[in-house]
Amino acid sequence: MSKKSRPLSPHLQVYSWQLHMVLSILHRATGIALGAGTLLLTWWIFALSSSREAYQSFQGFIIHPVGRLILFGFTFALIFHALNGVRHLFWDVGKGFEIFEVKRSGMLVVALSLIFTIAAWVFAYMQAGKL
Amino acid sequence: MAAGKTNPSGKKATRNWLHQRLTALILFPLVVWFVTSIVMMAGADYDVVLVWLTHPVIAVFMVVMIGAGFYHLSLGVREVIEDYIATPSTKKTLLALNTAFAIIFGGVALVSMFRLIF
Repeated sequence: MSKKSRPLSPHLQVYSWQLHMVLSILHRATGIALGAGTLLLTWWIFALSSSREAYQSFQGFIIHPVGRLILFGFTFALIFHALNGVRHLFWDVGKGFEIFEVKRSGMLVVALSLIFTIAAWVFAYMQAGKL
Repeated sequence: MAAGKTNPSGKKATRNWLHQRLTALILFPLVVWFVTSIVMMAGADYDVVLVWLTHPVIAVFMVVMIGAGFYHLSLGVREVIEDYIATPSTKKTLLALNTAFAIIFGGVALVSMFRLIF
């Protein structure tokens, strides 16, 4: 396998950025971020199954601004990845491939992700009695 | 193909593709349910969360979500590794780490769930 002589297919740097491309990258990026986020889920369940003290240290992390920011990112990543995943499932069965459909569904996913993420946090703060 | 050993066979790749979609279908309603539940429990203390999580129906949902979630994760990251890592040895190592991650952390989460239920 000589690396020099092999032709390269066009990659990210030669395309102009467009919504569908950003969302495609974001789908993978949020997928990987959620992979890191599973550590939080595992810690949460592990702490619950361990002891009250263990759960308190988990809560201490989540209540800290940095923990909260991570959890906010986790919320957005989860909602975006789930909604954009639905787009992928439609494509898998051959639906929604027209350019205007891809644009429309893309914008819909972005809008809904932002709305649901903010709504989840507003309701959570209301539930916790802090709003 | 030089990288034949680290690439899954056609059959395996098709199976992975299908399993990723099937787990996605299972995960979507579970994630909607999970996020909603967590939002409803914001600010709840240890005892409230514990009662919720040990409810038989909730526990079953959680176990399925954890199992399908870590499997879906490992399939997704596998795809990314296969797409971007060309060096066979690096690819092989990363794929092994990817599988180990899912087994270890998914395993800890599942064992913790079983400790909670029983």
